[in-house]
Amino acid sequence: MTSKLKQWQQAFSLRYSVWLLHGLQRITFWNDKIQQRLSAWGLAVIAALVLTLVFGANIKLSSIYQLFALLLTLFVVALLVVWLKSFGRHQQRLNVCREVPKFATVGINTTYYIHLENPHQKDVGVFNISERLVTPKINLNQFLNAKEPDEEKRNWYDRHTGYYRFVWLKNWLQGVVFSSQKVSGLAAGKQQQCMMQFMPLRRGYIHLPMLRLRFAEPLGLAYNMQDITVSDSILVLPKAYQLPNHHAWGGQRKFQQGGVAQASHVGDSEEFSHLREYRDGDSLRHIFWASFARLQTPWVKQYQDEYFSRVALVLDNDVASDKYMLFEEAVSVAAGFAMVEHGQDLLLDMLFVGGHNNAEHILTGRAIASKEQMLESLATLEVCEGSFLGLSIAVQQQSERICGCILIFTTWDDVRQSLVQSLRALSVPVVVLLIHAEHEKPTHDGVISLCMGRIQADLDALSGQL
Amino acid sequence: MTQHILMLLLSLASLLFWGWQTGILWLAGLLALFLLGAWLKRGTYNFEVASFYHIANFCALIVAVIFALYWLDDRASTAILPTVRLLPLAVIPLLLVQYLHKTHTIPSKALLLFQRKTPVQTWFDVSSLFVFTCVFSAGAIPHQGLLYFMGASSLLLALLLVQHRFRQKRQSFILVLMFLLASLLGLVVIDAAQQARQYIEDRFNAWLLEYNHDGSKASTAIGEVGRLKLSDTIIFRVQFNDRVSSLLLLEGTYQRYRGQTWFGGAWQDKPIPFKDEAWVLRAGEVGGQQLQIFQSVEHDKYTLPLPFGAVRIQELDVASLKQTQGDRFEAQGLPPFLTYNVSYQPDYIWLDDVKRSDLDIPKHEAKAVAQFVKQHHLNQIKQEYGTAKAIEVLYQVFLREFRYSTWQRGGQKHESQTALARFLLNHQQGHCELFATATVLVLRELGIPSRYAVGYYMSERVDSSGLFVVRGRDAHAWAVAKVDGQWVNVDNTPPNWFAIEHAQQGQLQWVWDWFSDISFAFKQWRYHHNTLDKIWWFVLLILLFVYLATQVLRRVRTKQGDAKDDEALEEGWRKLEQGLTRCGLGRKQGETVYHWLARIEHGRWSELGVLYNIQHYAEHDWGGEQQQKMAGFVQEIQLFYDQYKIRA
Repeated sequence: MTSKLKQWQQAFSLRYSVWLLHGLQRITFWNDKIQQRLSAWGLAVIAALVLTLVFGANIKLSSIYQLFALLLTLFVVALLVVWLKSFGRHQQRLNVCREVPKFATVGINTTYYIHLENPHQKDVGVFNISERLVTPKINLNQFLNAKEPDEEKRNWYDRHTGYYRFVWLKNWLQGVVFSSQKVSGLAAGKQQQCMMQFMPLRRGYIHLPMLRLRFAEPLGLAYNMQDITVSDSILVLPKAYQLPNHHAWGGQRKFQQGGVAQASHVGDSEEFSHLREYRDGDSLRHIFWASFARLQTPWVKQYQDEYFSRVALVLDNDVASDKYMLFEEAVSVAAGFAMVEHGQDLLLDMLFVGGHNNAEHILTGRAIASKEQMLESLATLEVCEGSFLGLSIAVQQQSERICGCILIFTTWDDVRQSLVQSLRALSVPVVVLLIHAEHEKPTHDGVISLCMGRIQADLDALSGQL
Repeated sequence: MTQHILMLLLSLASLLFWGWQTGILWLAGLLALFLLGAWLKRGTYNFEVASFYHIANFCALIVAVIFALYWLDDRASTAILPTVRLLPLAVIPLLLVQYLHKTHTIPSKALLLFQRKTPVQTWFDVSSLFVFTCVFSAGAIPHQGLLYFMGASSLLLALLLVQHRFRQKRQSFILVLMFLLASLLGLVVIDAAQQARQYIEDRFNAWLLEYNHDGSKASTAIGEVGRLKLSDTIIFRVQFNDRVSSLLLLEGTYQRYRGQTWFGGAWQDKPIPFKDEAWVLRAGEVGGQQLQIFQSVEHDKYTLPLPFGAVRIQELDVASLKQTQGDRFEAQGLPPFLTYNVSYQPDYIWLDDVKRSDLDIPKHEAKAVAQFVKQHHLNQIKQEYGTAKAIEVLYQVFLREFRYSTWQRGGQKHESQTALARFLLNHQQGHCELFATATVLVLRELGIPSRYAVGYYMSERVDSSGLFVVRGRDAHAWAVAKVDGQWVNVDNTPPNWFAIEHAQQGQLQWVWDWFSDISFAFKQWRYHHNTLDKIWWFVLLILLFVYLATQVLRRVRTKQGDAKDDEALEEGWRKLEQGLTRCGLGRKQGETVYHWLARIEHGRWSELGVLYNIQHYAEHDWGGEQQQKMAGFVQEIQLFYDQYKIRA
C-alpha cells in the first residue's frame, strides 16, 4: 500500500513538473514576444489597462472606464501603425557588422562594437539594437536537477514554482546575457559605432546569428522590428578557481631528469642560470673571462641542472546528465590548474575523453603549448557518458612518464577508486579532487572534497594542508 | 533640466486637475505649493537606497490608513473607490523625495514591497506615475459629460510629448495626430460602453420583472414549472423576546393578478417622517411589542421585512424611508449592515382602504375559481354561516384535499388550463404561492376583499444565541382579507410546508451556518457600536498611523550628509586628475579612471582606482579605512606633484 502510494506520489510529482515546465516555457515565450514588441511605455499602458478595467468595470460608479477607453484606443492605434509599417515600404535597411573579441571569460563583462551605416538618402530615427540568440530548449531533467545560485534564499512559493530557476537556467543554457543599446538616430549616408556589452554565463562558443533593430512608432508604445543576419561567434573560456599552493601540485620531480631536447647548451646537460662573484672552490672552467677582463674581478657562470616534472591532470568527463552542473565546476577547477604559472620545470598533461569515446590529452608547459590552448580545450569540453574505462587505461599507460597525477571527479565509485589504487601502487603521487553537491557529504580517505557553491572556500582551506 | 521643469509643470497641472475633478481643489492647491517648495530645494540630499524603500512603505501605509478610515465609516458602502480617489496623496511622498534627491530619480524596486534584496538595476522618474495616478484617481467618481475625458486626454498627450522630446516637429505632429485619432475612437468606445450598459440594464430589469420573488418590486410571479429553489442561506436574524414561537414578517402586498404574475395597484409613495430618533410609521399609535432585526444589505435600496402592525422603527440608520406600492416600506441610503428595533401592535394589520382591485378576478382564472367555489358550496356556507365560517371551510378544504409540494408538474401539451386551474381542479398540489393565489381569488369570488401578501415565516430559534434566524426557504406567501372591517391573515398553505422544506435542507448547512455566524458576529462588532466607540477607533487609527509613520520615516537617511559633500568629493577627484595631468600623466581619451590609475607609475595608485569605483558605482559607501586610504593617496599625489614641480 505504501509503495503504491509512493509510486502514485512520484507519478503525480512528475506530471506536475512536466506541466509546470510547459507552463513556464509558454509564459517565457509570450513574455519574450511581448517585451520585444512593446516598449516600457507600452508595458505601462498594458498595466494601466488592467488597472482601469478592474476599477472602472462598473461604469455607473466611476468614470475610470473613460480612461480605459482612451488607453485602449491608444494601444490599438499604436499596434495598427506598427502593423501597417511592417509591410516594409517604410523600413530602411542599414548595413551592420560586428567587431567581436575572439575570447571572453565566464562572469566577466565584455564589450564589443557594432558598426552601423545608413546607405540611404533618408535619416533613420531613434532605434534600439539588440542581439537575437537561439532560445535553448530546457528538458525536464535539466529543470529538475538544476539549482539556481542561492535558490535556498528564495521564498517557498518561488522555490516550488521554479520560475526564477527556469529563467536562470534558460540564460545559463543560452550562455550569455546581452544588454540592448539605444541609438539616437543615424543621418543619411553616415556611419556610427555602437558599443555593446555582454556577460558570459557559461563556457563554450556563443554564436551570434542575428541582430535586431527595433523602431518605435510615433506614440512610442510598440516597435517595428528589423532582423539583420550577421553571424559571429565568441569562445567563452571557463571560469578558473584560484589554487592555494601550486608548488605542491607538481608531484615529485627529483627523479625525472629531462629538458635535454630543448637545452641551449649541449654536453653537460646543465643550463646557464646567472653570473655571480667567484667564491673559493669554484671551478676555473666556470669563470666568465669577459667580465673578469672588464671589471678586474672574477665572476663565475652559475649553472643549474635541467629537470622538469610531468603531471597528469585527469578531468573525468564521464558524468551522468543530472550532474552536469558539477561537471561545470570540475572544468573550472581544471582551469585553475591551467592558469597557474608553472615555470619552466612542469609539463601539464590534461587527459579527458574526446570524440568517439577515445581518451585524449593536451600537453602544456615548457613552450609546447600555452595555457590558453588548454583553456580553449576546456571551454569546448563536452560530457561523454559511460566512457571512463578508456580514460582509466590511458592514465595507467601514462603512469611511467608522469611524476604526479591530479584527478578531478564528480563521482566516487569502484572503478575510479581502483584507478586511484593502481596509481598509488605504482608510486605515483595522486591528488583526488571530488566535486560534490551540497547535500552529499563524502568522507573518503585521501580524497579532497569540494562542495558545490563553496568550492573556492574549500580550496582556500586546503592551503594549510598542502 | 528643461525636461525636469516640464515634468514639474505637468505634475502640478495634473494635481490641480485631480483636485478640481474630485472637489478638493483647496487640498490640491496646498499640495502643489508643497511640491513647489520641494522643487526649490531640489538635489539637496543624497538619500540611501533603503530610504526610498522606507518612503515607499510610508506611501503604502497612507493607502492602508485611507482605506481603514473609509472602512470605519458606516456611511461608506465601499472603501475601495474612495481610497482610489485619494491615491495621489500616497504618491506625493515619493515625488517629494525624488525632488530632494540629487539624481532626481528613484529606484524602480521602491514600487515593489518585495524583491528588494537584490541590487537596484533601474532608476526612474516617478513624475510620470504621479501624473497617471492623478488622472486615474480623478476618474474614481462618476462625471457627467466628457470634461474628465478631455482633461485626461490632454494630460496624457502632454506626458507623451514631454517624454519623447522629438527633435523634429514632424514627429511631434504625427504623435498629436495619432493621439487625436485615438481620442476620437475612445469617444466611440465610451458611447458604446454606455449603450451596452443601458441595454444590459434594460434586459436585466425585464428579467427581474419576469422572475421576481423578492417582494421588493412591483410584481411577483408564481407557478413556474419545476423545482422550487430552496435556499438555506440565512437572510436576517431577529431578536424577539415574546413567548410566541413564530411570526409572519410582511414585505408587501399585491392586488392585481395578470397572467401568472401579481402586480401592485395604483399608488403614490409616502415619505415616512423621522421624529424623536424614530421613523414613525403610524402616527399616534403606540407599539405593544418590540423586536430587533439584524441584516446585511448589499444594495442601496431595500424593502424592510416588518411584522404586521408595525408602528415605529428605531436605530434605523438610513437616508430615507418611504411607504411604497403594496404597503412596502422601502429604505434608501443604507449602511452595509442594518440593525433596527421595530415596535408593533400584535394581531393588528394596517393596510390601506379596500379598492376595487381587491375584488378583481382575472378572466382566464374566473371559470376555474367559480367551479372550485361551486364544487365546495362555499357561497352557500358564506350566506348561511357568515364570512368567518366560509374562510374556515376553505382552510379545511385545502388542508384535507390539497398537498404541499415543492415540485410543480407541468400541463399536457396544448393544454389551455392555467397553472392555477390545474392546481385547483386537477393536481391539487403546489407551493405556498399557489395556495395564496388560490385563496385570494376564491375569497374574491365570495365577495371578500383580499390581497396577496409576501414575506417571511419566522420560526427557527437558535438556542445558543437566542436569536431567530430567517433563511431563504422561509420566504412565504399568503392572503390577507378584510373581514368585518379588519384585515386578517388567511394562510391556507398546509402547516406542514415548513417541515417539508426543512427536511430538504443541505447536509452541509451547519457549515454555512457557522460561516454565517462568524460573519454576523464580525459585522455586529464592526457596525453595532455607538458614536463614542467610533471616535475611539478613529483616534486609535490615527495614533497607530503616527507611530508607524514615525518608525518608518526615522530610518530615512542620507549618504554622508548631503549632496554637497559629494560635490566636494567630486571636486577633489577633479583636482587630483588635473595635478597628475600637469605632471604629464593625463588620462587618455576614453580611458576609465581605474585603468588610467593602474597604467601610470607602474600601477602604484591602482588601489585609488578601486576606491573611485567603490565611491561611484558601489551601493555602499566608503568605510573609515577607505577614507584614510584616500587621504593617504591624496597626500602622496600632492607630494609627487610638488616634487615634479621642483624637478621641472
